[in-house]
Amino acid sequence: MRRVKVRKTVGWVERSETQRRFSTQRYIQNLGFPRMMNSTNPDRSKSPRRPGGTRESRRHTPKVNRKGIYQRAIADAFVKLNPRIAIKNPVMFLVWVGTVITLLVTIFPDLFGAAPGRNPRLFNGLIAAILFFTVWFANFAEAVAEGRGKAQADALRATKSDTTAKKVLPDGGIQEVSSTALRQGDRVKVVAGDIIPADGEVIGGVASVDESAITGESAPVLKQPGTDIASSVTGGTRIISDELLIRVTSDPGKGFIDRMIALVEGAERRKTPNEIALTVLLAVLTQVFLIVVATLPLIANYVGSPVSIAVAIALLVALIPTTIGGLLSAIGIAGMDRVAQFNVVATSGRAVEACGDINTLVLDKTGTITLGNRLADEFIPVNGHSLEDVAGVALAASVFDETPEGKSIVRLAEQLGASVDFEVSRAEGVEFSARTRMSGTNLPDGIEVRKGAVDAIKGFVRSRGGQNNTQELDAAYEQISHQGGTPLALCQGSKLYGAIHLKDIVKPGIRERFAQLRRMGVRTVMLTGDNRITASVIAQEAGVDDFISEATPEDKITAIKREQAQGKLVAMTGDGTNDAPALAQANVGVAMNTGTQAAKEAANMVDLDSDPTKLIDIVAIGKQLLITRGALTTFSIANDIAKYFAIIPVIFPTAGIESLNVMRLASTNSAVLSALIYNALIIPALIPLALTGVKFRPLTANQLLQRNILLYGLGGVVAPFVAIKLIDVLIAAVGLA
Amino acid sequence: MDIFLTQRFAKVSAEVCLATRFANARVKLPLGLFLGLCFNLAIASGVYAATGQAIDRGQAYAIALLGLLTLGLSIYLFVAIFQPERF
Repeated sequence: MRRVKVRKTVGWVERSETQRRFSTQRYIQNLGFPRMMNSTNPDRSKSPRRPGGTRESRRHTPKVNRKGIYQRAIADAFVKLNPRIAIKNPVMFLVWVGTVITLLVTIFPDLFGAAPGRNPRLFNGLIAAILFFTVWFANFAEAVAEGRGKAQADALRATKSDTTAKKVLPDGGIQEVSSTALRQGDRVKVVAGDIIPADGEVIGGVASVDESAITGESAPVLKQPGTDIASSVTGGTRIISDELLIRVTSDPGKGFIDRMIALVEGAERRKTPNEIALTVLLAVLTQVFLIVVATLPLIANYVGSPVSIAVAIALLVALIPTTIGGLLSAIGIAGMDRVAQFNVVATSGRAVEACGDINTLVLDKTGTITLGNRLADEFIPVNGHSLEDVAGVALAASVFDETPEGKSIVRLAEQLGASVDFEVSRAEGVEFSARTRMSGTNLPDGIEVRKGAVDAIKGFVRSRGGQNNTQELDAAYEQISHQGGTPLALCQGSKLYGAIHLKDIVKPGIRERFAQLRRMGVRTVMLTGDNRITASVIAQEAGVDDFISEATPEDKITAIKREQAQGKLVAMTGDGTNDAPALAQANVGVAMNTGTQAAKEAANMVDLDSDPTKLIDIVAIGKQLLITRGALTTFSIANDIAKYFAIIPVIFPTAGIESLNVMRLASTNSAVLSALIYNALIIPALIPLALTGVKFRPLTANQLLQRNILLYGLGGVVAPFVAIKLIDVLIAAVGLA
Repeated sequence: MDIFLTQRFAKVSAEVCLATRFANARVKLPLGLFLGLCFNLAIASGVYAATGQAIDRGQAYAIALLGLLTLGLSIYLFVAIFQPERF
């Protein structure tokens, strides 16, 4: 495991690899290294990528054409009537078989014995039609959900096209080949205007790449070799300046976009553990009701109220949980779709669902909890210097520093009245380097001003023959650390001038989000390379439950394993190669798209926007998926009560149970038909809820349970009573009763 | 005579079982349906005998077939309960 020693020093926060991940380039520039990355466009060098606009505005970014989804779904719903497909859903398959049998008794009313009633053909025909629509509506729900995934896949596929690649031969020559002929390990050269032919790692060159095809983010992304961020490229994206040498990391058809297409299309969809458990529950319920209804004619004959086969089938369909049975797969597919809308690609539905069960979030401080850019908050003079002196030296040391932190130092100094009193054009900027851990300016008169890590500046002052009195500086370092800030020391030649307090800005609203997560029972652990004092202050300010300071990548795995040993599910984000083991270890690992191929392979989700805060949203989506499924299951089973009270009293008129006919339904026929019509119509009525999910509320598990039982349990009991009565009145009005 | 019939029946049953086992997926369903219809001949006569003159022979056959179908669905649901990952 690597550990960045850039700022590992007393007085300058220790930076572990984990922190490096989201803003390596920003850090390197922090102390005055503005032109390191791209001399052609300094603006681009400010940050690897900062997606523009709000997250909501960036949803659906690979432009999805949803036109015609419903027309296609209507056709697909008929295709799904194929028994080979229908048999995959036990609940709906029973309805399918029931439809066939009622169709037979429509054609041959006396097939199973003398048919009672005035017009058995019409009654049986109506039941057959309603049952058919019940199955069709369930198929339609699934087809709409699948259609949304396919539309997303089509949008992605449109970005993929066979291109000509310039393959670099072992002898250094260039051969033009089709992108489909490239294999893992091949080296290709791409120049401005080319489409990158395959997924790969940058091994040479620096260039801007337009990744809007997959991320929707129009700002170009800088790619260069040797960094954990910004060194991987995705096939299908376009290079818009300079040139790159790329080593291909995936064979044709196995690239990132190919995997995304397969996933959103549902080609690799497997049932999740929760779905399997629910399938078993639904099958058990169906089995119980099948046995009850199959043996009912014996009792009915005994009490002298024979039940026709069509009514028995109607009763069975009304009792089995068709609502959740019909919507179950649509809920799962829609969950994947919702994650994709957030520009996150999940490798499996299992991963999305696991998000809902997460107990612990392991989060990096920088970029996730705090804004990446720290800003200068105050200057602390030492060794008898005045605040004005310190501001002047800080300004001089930062005039060439184009980073947000450097600019904030300039701004603060100017606010304190400092001004540049030398000819800038004759001065020389000293860039930050990992070796010196400081940056600054060589003034025209030969004086050197520097700012940087406290021990580096102390060493610099010593090397210039300066004093060894550092007590005040050490006190300033302690003071800044206690306030959760990052201290920078400041010197001019051999004299120490003071310290700059760089304040870590906790993201606005993050404290409330952590409070919400806590209410939902999710624990947050902050990882940081900062010293313990700084870490504890930031942790307190952000409201995390726990923190690990001076963290190394090994600490991350240890923290995850410790949580998992207690039976908890852990989620984390990462993008560096050395994050890969931890991403693989976590139950939900979200890799940043700017990260290395190794991290993306190890994770079970990839965030195309590379926004680590999104992990919190993903957890919310997972919980929403589970809540939606639970709510609709509750509603579906609660519906049984009303349907039972609608059908049972009217099919045993001679058994003296008329008092159970609480809805005062018009007749046996209208009762059966109303219950079945309600049963069929509730499926399309709930399709929007299944696709968009139950509104997510950050409540505790108990509060959620109470709320959902009240809303979907009690609602599921009351709603069908009202609806069935209304349908019965309509049936009686049209004379079908 | 009885022994001869029993032996013949056992032999035919064994052949049918083998045919079902080695039949490919395309043939399995029609073969199963055919065997089910044949088996129903035995059940239908039982149903017919039990109901007296209330129903005719065709109805007895249909009721027996419905009973078999219900049994089949019940077995199918047990498969769904014990091997849910197949669905």
